[in-house]
Amino acid sequence: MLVDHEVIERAQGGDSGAFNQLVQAYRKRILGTVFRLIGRQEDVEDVGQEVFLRLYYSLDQLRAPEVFEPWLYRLTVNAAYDYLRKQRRNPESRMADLSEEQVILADAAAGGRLALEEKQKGEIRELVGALLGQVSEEDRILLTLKEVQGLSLKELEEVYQVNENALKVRLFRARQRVLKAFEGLQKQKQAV
Amino acid sequence: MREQDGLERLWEAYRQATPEPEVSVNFTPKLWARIDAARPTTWAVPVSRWAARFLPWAAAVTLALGVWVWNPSGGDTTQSGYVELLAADLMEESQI
Repeated sequence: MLVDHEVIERAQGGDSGAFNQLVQAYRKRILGTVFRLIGRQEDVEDVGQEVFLRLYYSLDQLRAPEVFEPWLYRLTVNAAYDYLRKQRRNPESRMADLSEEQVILADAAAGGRLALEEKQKGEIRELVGALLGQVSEEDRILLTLKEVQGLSLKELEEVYQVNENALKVRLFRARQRVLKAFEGLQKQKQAV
Repeated sequence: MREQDGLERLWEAYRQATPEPEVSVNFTPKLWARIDAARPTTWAVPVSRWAARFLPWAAAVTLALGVWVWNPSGGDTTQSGYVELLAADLMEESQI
């Protein structure tokens, strides 16, 4: 926990200062998670603000300060899920932004070693983006939380509010699907 | 199995390639602006509470009125009226 239970309780009681403390403590972590979930830097802050907005108006429903973090993750997942669904409805804008990112990467590549490293990181982000783009939003979010964010099964149980067995089945299926997509990408790469 | 290992390495590389981003100075002020914009107006709260209490009563009254007004023989009256009209129309036509 990044804050004391007392801060959460004060925020639940409508204390703006305490809510600000929560935002200060968690905003970096939430923005990092949002970035990994949605894969688009330019929309990270917007989605992050949506998470804290939902937190503000749902804090009174939080049953105990101990479950604050999974609660916050659940709000993050829901906001990211809504964003991804909206993006899937407007695929054109995504394509346009991707090419813009490629232009920036190409510019950066003109620099020295740092730019080369950044380029490699950009390629990894692009590859993972392409990989996760081939599975559903649900699989994308679940796998990102488990494999990238490193959430434990116990934490994921709290986020998804399902039992361990159901979660293991979901994870197994999601892993199978992403592995299949990964194999497909590998084959494409070898063919080129 | 090789693909599985490759995928594990890719997740690890992705973790490294996506550090926690820097937060802009406007993040919190913009957030508060959004919170204020989404805040329900002072009169909306009591109105929504009143509407929530009124809704079951309104549904019950509508249902009771529906039962009271409902007339099972209504359909037959309409049908006989239509048949009579049709017969009168045919009579008129045959007279011409």
